[in-house]
Amino acid sequence: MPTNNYSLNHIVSASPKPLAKLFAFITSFGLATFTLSMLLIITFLGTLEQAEFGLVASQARYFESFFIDRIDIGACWRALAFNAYWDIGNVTLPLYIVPGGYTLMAILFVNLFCGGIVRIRKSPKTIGIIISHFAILGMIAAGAVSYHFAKEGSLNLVEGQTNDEFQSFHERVIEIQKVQTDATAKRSALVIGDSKYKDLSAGKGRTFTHDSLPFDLMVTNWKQNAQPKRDAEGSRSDAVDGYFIQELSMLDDAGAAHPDEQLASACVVMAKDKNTGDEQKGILWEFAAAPLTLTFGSDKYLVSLTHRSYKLPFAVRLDQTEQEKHPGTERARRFTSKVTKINGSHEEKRIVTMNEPVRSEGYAVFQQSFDDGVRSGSNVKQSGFQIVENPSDHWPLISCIIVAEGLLLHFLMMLGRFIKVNPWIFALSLIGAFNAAFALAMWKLL
Amino acid sequence: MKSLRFAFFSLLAMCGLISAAELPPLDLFRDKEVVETFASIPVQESGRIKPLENLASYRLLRFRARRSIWLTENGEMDGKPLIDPATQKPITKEGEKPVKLSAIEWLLMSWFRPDIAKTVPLFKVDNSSAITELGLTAKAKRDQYSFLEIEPARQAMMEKMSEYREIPAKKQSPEQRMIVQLAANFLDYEMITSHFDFIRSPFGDKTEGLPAGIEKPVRLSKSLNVVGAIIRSGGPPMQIPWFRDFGRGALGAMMSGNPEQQPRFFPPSLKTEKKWSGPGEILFQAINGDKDVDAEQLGWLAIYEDLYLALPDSAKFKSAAKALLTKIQIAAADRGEGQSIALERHSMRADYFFYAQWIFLVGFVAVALTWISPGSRFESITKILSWLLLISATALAVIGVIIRCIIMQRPPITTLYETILFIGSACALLGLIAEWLTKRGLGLLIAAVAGAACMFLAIQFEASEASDTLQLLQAVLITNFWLSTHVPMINLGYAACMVAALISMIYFIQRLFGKIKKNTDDGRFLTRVAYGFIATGLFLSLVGTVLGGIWANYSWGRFWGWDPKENGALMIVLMCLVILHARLGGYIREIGLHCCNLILGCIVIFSWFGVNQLGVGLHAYGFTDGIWPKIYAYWLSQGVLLVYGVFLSFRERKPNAAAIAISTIEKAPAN
Repeated sequence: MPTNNYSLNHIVSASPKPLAKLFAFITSFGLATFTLSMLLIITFLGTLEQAEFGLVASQARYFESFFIDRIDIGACWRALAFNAYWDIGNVTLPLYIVPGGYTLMAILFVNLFCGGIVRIRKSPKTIGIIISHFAILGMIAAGAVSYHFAKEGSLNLVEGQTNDEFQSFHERVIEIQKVQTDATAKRSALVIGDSKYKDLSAGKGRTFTHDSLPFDLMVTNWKQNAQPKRDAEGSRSDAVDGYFIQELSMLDDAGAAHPDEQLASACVVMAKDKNTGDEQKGILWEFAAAPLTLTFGSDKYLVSLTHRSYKLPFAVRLDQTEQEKHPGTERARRFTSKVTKINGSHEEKRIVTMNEPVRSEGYAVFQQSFDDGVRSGSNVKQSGFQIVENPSDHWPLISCIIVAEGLLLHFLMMLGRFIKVNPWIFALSLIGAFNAAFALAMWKLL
Repeated sequence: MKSLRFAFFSLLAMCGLISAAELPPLDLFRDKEVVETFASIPVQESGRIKPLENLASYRLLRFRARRSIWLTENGEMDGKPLIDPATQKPITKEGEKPVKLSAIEWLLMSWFRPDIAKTVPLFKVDNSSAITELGLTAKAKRDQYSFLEIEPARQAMMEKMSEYREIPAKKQSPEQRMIVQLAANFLDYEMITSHFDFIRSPFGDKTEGLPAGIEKPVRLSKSLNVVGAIIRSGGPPMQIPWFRDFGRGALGAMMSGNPEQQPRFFPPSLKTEKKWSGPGEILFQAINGDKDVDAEQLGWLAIYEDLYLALPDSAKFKSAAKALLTKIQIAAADRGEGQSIALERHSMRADYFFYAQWIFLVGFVAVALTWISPGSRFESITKILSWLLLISATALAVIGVIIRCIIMQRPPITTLYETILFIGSACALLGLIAEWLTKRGLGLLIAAVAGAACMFLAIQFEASEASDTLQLLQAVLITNFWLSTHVPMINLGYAACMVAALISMIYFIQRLFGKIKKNTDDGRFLTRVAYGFIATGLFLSLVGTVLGGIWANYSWGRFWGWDPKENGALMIVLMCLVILHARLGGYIREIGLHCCNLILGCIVIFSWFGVNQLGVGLHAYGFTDGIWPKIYAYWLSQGVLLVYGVFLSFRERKPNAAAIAISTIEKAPAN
């Protein structure tokens, strides 16, 4: 049993004021225990659901949500392979009362700040605890900042190609771009974020309008994984130009979820001329070879359903790729890309390789994938880069160092008292040794 | 090239029998000198340079689930010894006494006496209905079958294999899985037994239609380029009369359907070339290449031929084998490779983890003996004995892990198998440290139980995987700094939490047998030590997990991806935090803490083994069939203890609840 006796929820005054009561509640160990337990449970369920819903969907449902809309017990059951003994079929708990990861993190932040820093008894015995609480706050804050402000996506380049835009991994948008007569002009486009059209299943529609456009755009019949199919009999009411959107399963043959990047969403759009009221209809599909072209007078507009594009402050050219394999095998040992960073007329040669990204102007460029074109037969070498801009990039590192020192201090002092030696000397000398070992590892190995 | 290789597969058949007079006696391949020589030959397989003994050992483990084989009719030590099919006499000098072969002896028998090797029960079949499905007569439910017993069903087996392979792994029935596995093993073994066919009879029986320019006796080291030129210029090769047999020989020389697993014996003199060459590689170069095989390669092939052609003269064979070994060793040393062959052979023979397991078990018995008469002289003697045993067992396990690091020149953990070794050694070490600090026998018990359990688990795991446990790293993992900080830390965290769970198991078992009573000093002691391990576990798991995130952030741009393995680690951290805060808040006391510890143990097992079974995520290394039932068994056992714990806590709370009720009633009028 530790000697900390700063239990907060035991403080009871004769007739507590409501505000004091509330403060006692939000700083309580009870709230901390409850929140941590809930986080534990949703982490467990969210992990199990990944087997059938994929990482992106279960992340959105459990870890980034305010409330969890439903729990698919059947999927969790199958993920644990219990169905080999007893198949419970599809059981779903529809609920909106269980707080999601976002809410729980927010509660934990407040509870930790008020209880673990403001209200906690300050003494040499709690100093380690306070330090680590402080660092954990930093980590939660880093998570929030990166959730709200970080941009990440991928950039695929074949050897010799240059690009200054990268695509979001998971966020799909409807992009509307006016065809420009001047080839050197900067590309600019209007986008409709996916939260604005993701609910538009068959029978639902929404119209989007913008001052710069000569038409209003109505989006309808959105499906997350689909392909356009020829309406051979001509009998379908939802057909557009002889094609209709056929929904595809989200699961593969083995019953596992397709990864998000293999899903191809599709929808129907209807453009209505603001002046004449004429309508043009078309199907948008993520994997379509070309965007839908709409013509209004002398102007042409390209509409497409695509991953959201972000602009880089510089362009990247892939000069050369290198792949090293373990001898006599097809297993990769190292991928390396020689790239040129182009900023106006200024060119700079850089090397991106596994575990060694290039950082520049707040962006980090990581070697993510590599294709030597042998399997596809094209023999065109291609590198896939992950590009990240994250304002809280280094916060976790700082927090980690602080939390490690804080916890070490606290627990080593406890151990020191347990084995009856001077806790300060014991703890500080071991912390010194630990830091020295880590520094040595960094110096020798990194 | 691939389609050609496939065509050979469907054609592969038994090679012609050789007359008995030419056959070397099997005892030659059990000769100590011969075995030593072959066992030490460096070979590059699956990208790594290893002793031939290692390759033989894992092949045999895959076929038979053991590393040695009995030359008896039922494949066990109590069976009737086999008879030499060529002479109808006993196959070894021991005569009627059953003889066991080591893996390397088995490989040599398969190479040089395939006629005998094919009669030895080799393939382990766990499911006799698979044998029935192939139209063969099944023996016992679990039994071993020789090559000749399986061979009649070869065609049926190949057809079924290609059909079942299309079914996703999760949906295959146990029989289907068994047939796919048996077929793959059968094909591999067929190639092993025909490894020297390209020397024995390079063109099969079609000796008349030999290509022009090839003299008899045929030595491919002299005529390979002639053969290659004919294949290149002669139109569709499958129409050349002798090509099929030549192709079979080439496949046998490859010794595996997977080109990555072919043995590569010949180090190139060119330093920049990382890939060694092997007999199969050279033959396929002649078949597929567009230019002649160079003189260096042909030189190697000639030495390889000398080895086989030295038979059956034992003296000549021994010196040829030594010459081959020496030449390979010198060529490898010249390249600065193969230095750890001796160390690897040492670690295979020393079998550290096997011995550690047994000494841990004996140590456990010694610890149990200390409980017999507390306070007596007997107790102090047995305690010293347990200390000695457990220290030596732990030392063996730790040395075993360190030797693996030296061989591979990298930090200790890169595969699921290695986590078991590491966590086992760490638990034992943590137990011994706890004992040193507290001196009450608990730490010894932890070291004995955790050490024995993990060593046992590691040995079982290795047998079920049956592939080389020293694996090459994936590209993203090649960074010694993170592999030596994040990974060991996380695994030490697992170890500390498992020790905490183990203490709680001990607590409940002692409560059950009345060794610990309510509110006693013994109970409080266990609680304090368990608390210490949770704190250690929290520190290691939290810092280890965050370090993993930082690695991910600095290496591939994302700190946290909600990947199942990451979530598993997070769940451990959260459970430790729940326990610590619930305890401070007074929601759990002694029994509650131990109950929570049991749950913590279940979470550790889930994130250690369970999440790998989900088949999703970046950390999905080490997928193993049939691991779920073992996880359920652990959860169930903990569930039972948990129910007992809840029962105990209710039984103890009742009088307390009554007391509180009374005190409230007494207080009530005062307000």
